[in-house]
Amino acid sequence: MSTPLLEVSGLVKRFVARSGVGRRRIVEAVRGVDLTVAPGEIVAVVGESGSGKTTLARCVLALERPTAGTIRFDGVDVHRAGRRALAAVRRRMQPVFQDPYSSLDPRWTVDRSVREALDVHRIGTPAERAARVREVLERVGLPARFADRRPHELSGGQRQRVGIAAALAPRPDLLVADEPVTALDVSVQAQVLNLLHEIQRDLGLAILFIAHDLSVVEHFSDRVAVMYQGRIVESGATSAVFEHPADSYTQALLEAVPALR
Amino acid sequence: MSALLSAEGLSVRYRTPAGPASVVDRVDLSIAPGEIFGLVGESGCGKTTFALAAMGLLPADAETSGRVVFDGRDLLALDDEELRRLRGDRISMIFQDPLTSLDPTFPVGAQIAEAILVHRDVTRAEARRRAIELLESVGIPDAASRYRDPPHRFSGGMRQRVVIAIALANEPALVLADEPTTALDVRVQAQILALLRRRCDEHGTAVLLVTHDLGVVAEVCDRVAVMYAGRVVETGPAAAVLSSPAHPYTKALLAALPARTRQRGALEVIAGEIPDLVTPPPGCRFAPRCPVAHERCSDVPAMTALGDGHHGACWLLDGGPARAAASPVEEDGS
Amino acid sequence: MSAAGAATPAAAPRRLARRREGGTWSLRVGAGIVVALVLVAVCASVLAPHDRDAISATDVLGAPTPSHPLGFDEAGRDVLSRLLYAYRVSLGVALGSVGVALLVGVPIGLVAGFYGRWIDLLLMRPIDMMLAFPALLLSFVLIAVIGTGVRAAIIAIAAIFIPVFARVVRTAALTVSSLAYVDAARARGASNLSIMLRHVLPNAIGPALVQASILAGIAIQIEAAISFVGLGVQPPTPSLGVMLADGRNFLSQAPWLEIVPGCAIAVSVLGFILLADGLRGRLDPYGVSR
Repeated sequence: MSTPLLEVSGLVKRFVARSGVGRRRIVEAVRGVDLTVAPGEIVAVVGESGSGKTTLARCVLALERPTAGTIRFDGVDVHRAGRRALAAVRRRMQPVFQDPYSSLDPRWTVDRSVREALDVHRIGTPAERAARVREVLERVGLPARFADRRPHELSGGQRQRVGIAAALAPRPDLLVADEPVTALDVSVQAQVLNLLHEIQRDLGLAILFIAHDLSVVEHFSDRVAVMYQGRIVESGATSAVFEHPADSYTQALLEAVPALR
Repeated sequence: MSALLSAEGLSVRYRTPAGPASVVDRVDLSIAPGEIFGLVGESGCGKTTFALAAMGLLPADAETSGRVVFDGRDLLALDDEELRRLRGDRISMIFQDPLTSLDPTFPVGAQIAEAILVHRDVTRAEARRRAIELLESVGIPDAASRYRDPPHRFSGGMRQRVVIAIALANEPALVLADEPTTALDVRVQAQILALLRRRCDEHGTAVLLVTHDLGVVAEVCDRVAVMYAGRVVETGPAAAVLSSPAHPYTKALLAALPARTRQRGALEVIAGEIPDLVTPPPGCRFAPRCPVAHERCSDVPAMTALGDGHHGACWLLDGGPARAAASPVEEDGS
Repeated sequence: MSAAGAATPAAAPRRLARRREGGTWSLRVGAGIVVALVLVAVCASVLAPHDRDAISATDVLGAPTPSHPLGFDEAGRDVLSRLLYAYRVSLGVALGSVGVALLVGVPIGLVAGFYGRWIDLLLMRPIDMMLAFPALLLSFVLIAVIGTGVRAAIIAIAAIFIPVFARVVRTAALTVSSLAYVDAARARGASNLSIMLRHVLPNAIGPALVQASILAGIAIQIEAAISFVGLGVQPPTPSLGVMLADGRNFLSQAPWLEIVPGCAIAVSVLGFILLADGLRGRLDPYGVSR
C-alpha cells in the first residue's frame, strides 16, 4: 500500500460573509472532508455549485488557509510547511483552471506563461527552459510558433491547452484541475479530455479533477467523490459509484443527468 | 398544419473590422404551435443570433435579409412599436443568466406584475393576484410572501423560475429560451426543463430552445435543428436526429460526448476549428473538417428529405437512404 | 420585463463598436497636440524669436506686428516668446505633478488592491480623506505651508492627484487580483511581490495612464488658477497663469494679452482630454478612470 500522494484529512473551511448591513454570516464551505489521491491516480470530485468543491481545490493548492484539518502532499503538511518545503510542494503540484479567458495573463506571451513555473523555481538554464516550453507545447498539440502569441489571438480550447502546458512544464506529480473543460464546447472538450488522458497515461501523473458534469467524470476518472454542502457523501471506484450509488443525493444527481439514449 | 413561427431564408451579417461576417446564412425553419423546438450547436454557430433576430433585438448595424413570419406577419419588417407590443405578450424571451435578466432593485412580484400591466388592461390588484398565481405555477413555495422578495434572496434556480414566470405572464404563443439552464446545476436543470415541458403540454405554448447541450435536447425537445457556422445542417424529430444522425457534423458531435463512450481516451475528436465567418468556405461550411468530404462539397448542399420530417444538408444524403447507410462514420457505442 | 432583460445582449455589441471608432481619431489628434506642445516647451529657447525678458518702454501694449505676431505685453516684452517659455513652465508643472503623483499613488493603490482587507482599509482611509478635501483648498493650504514657486506648485498639485491615482489603480488591481492567472501564479509558487509587479501592475496601470492624461489637463488649469491669484509660479517667470494675471488689467487696450494665454490653456487641456479619450479604449477596458 503506497503512501498517498495527496492526503486531505478533516478539512474544514469557514468564510465570513457580510450579508446586508453589517450582518456577519459564517459560511461553512467545507465541513470535514477526507480524501486521498494515490500516485498516478485520477480522482474526481463532483458536486453542484455551493458544494464546496472549488474551495477544496483552493485549499489543496494552498490558495486558502484551512480553518481546520490537514492537507499533506507526499507527507508534507502543506499549510504548516516552511517556505522552502512549500516551494518544493508547489513545484510538484500544478493547477489547471476553468476559465480559459482569465487563466492566462493577457499581457504575457504564451512562452512566458508556460515558463512561469520554471522561472519561479529557477529550473534549468534559460536555454533549457526555452526548449522545455517548446517540448511541452508540442505535447499539448500546439505548434511552436504559438509561443510568441498572446492569449487574445487564441481560441478557448487553445488557451486551455496553454494552461495545461504551463502546468506540465515543471514535471509535476499532481495536477489539480478545477473544472478544466466546463467552459469549452463539446468538440473542444473532447480534444482536451483526450489530451489529459494521454498525458496521464504517458507521464503517470495523478490528477485531482473537480467537475460538475457526471458524464465527463464517468468517462475519465478512476475514483470519484460526490460532494454535497461541504461534505463528501459518497466515494469509491467510479464504476461502482455510477452503477450502484448508495447515497440518495448521488442517485438524484445521476437521475437528473439528461439521458441521451 | 400552419407553422407558428417560420423563418424563410434568414441571413444576418455583422460588420467587423475585418469585413462583414456571415453569422446566419439562409436559415429556414418552422415551429409548430405547442411544440418544443431545439436549436442546437456550439458557440459561434449563430443560434443565439437567430433568436435575437426573431425578436428584433439585433444591434442596429446588423444586416438582415429574409423573413421571419409569425402570426402571418414578417417580424423583420415590423417597426419598434409593433415589436414592443409583441414582446412579452405573444412572444417572450428567456435568457441564460437569471441574475442580469431581473432588476435587482425591485421585488420579483412587482416585476411580474409589471410585465402583465404593460400588455393587459387590468387593475394593479388583479395583476398582483395573477403574479402570485404564476409564482405558484412555476413552483416557488410560499408565493404570497416571496412576492415581495428582491431577486438576490432567491437561488439561481429560483430566479430562473421567476424569469420563466415573467415570460409566461401573458400566455405567449411562443417562448424563445436562450440557454435557459446552462448556468444551473444538473438537478435544477432537470426541474426547469420539466416545468417548461409541463407548461407546453398544459397551455399549448411553443418553445424555441436554443442550447449547446444535446442532453437537454434529448430530454425535452420534440424537434431539433442542428446549426453549424451559421447554417442549419440537419433538422427533424429529436429522437430521429439523435439516434440516427444523418449529417457528418451531427454524428461527430454525438460521438464527442463522453456519455456515449465507455472506453477512455476514445472520444472522437472533430479536427480543426470553426471557419472564419468573414471568408467562409464556399459550399458546405463543414467540409474543411469533414471526414468524408469530397469534390461536390464545394457547392452548398441542398436539404435532402429523409422521411418523417427528417432533413439533412449533405451531398452524401443526396442519393437517398442507400447512400446515407453506406457512409463510414457510424458511431454506435454498443 | 422580458424586454428589459432583452436589452442587455443587443446593447452590448453596439456600445463596444462605438467606443472603438471614437478612439482612433481622438488618439491621433490628442497625441498630436500633446506631442506638439511638448516639443514647443522643450525647444522654447530655440523657437523664441526674441528674448522673453527684454523690456521695452516704447512697445508697451503694442499691437501685433509681423515680427511680433502676438504683440507686446505691459512691459514691452514679446508675447510670443513669453508664451513659449510659459508653456515650458506650465507643462513642466503639469507633467511634474502628474509624475510625482503617479510615483506615490500607484504603489499605494497597487498594494491596497492586491492585498485587500485590512491593508486596503489602512491605506485607503487617508486617501479617501484626501479625496474629500476640495482640491483647490488643499493646494492653497499646502502652499501656505510650503511657500510659492514652481516647486511648490508641483507638490501642491501632486498632492491633489495622489489619491486619484491611488483609487484608480486600487480598483483595477482589485479586479485583476481576483483573476485566475493571479491564482495560477501563486499556486505555482510566485511571491506576492513578483505577482504584484509582473502580473497585476502591467494589467492595472492602463486606467492610471488614461487618468494621467486627464489630470495633466486639469493640472494646467490648476496651475493657471493658483498662479493667477499669485500663489503659484511667481513673476517674472512666465507661466500661462502668470500671463493671465498680468493681462487682466488691460482687457480693453490689449485684449490679446488675455486671449492668447487663455487659448493656450484651452488647447492644452483639449489635447490631453482627447489623448485620454483615445487611450481609454485600449487601456481602460473596465471603465475605471474618471
